[in-house]
Amino acid sequence: MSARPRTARRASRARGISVWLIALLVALVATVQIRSEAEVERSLVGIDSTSLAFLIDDLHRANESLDAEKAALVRLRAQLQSGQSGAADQVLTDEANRLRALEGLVPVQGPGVVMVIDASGLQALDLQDALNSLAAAGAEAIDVNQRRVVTGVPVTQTRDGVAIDGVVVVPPWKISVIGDVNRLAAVADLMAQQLRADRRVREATYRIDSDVVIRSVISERPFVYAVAS
Amino acid sequence: MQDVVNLLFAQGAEGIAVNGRRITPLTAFSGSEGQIVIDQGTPFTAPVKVAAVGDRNRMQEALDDPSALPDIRARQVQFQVHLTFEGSPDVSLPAYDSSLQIPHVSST
Repeated sequence: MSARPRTARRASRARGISVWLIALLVALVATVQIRSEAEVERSLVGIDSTSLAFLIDDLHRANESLDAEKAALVRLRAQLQSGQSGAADQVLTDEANRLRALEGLVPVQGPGVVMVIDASGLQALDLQDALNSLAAAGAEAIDVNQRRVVTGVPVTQTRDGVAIDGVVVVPPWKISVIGDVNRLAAVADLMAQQLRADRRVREATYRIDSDVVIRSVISERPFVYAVAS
Repeated sequence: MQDVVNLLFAQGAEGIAVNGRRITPLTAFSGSEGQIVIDQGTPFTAPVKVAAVGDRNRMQEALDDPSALPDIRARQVQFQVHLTFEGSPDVSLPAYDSSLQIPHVSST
């Protein structure tokens, strides 16, 4: 017997196995995709058209943000590949500064709105709702009466009133917010209208500011329990 | 949901995920009619699973406190909302899976 037919058989078997492996992989990907689509579809059943429109709008915005991030990362890669002295240090410093601003650890400034709410009897839940509405409108930094707020800073009800991170904030509440002015102003306008209809509220106003300065910062707390996995 | 997350952070939670979605400093909650949307994620309904990493005793005590979460306690009676919790020595949280850009903010 010559070695050639055996080699040919082996090659043919290997091809067969490859085809099966590829078919299996395609089936797996298709199953994951179908299940994922079904899951999304299930989650959207019963949702009203207005909420759906908001969701689609949010998704578009998230996609745009991811595109911008992708472009920034490409630029970053080019910068790092340039091999210029200090390039990596600069990139790391910029990223650390950005994350510190995001976490509320450094003073920041930028365009935004400043709201003033004067009322008696508003509760922590009211302030939480207001801050959440602004966060949903893309707020990138928030300050209430010189107290910096990010998600994770507790807003609680105490005997003496509403407290941010344990410190009571006495009305009038001056809420300074940095972010997309158009989106923030639309939400601030709606909030001001709703608040003015509330009997407890004496004043609810807002103004657009091209340069809101937030000097308050959150004290850095080292993690005790959480470790990166 | 916002209340529960707020309570856990107030009790020293160092990381939280709601139904597998990681809470970030920029997170916002929305939704209507029993549906919850976190940031730009897909909407979800009950049951909602909140996972938190932090001081287990503090968080458990706070969740056990009948005077905490008054809104949810009221709904337990009104809408039969069930709130249960359990401690674990090792809770894993997923990483945030979207963008955290802050294009309008600059350091002073």
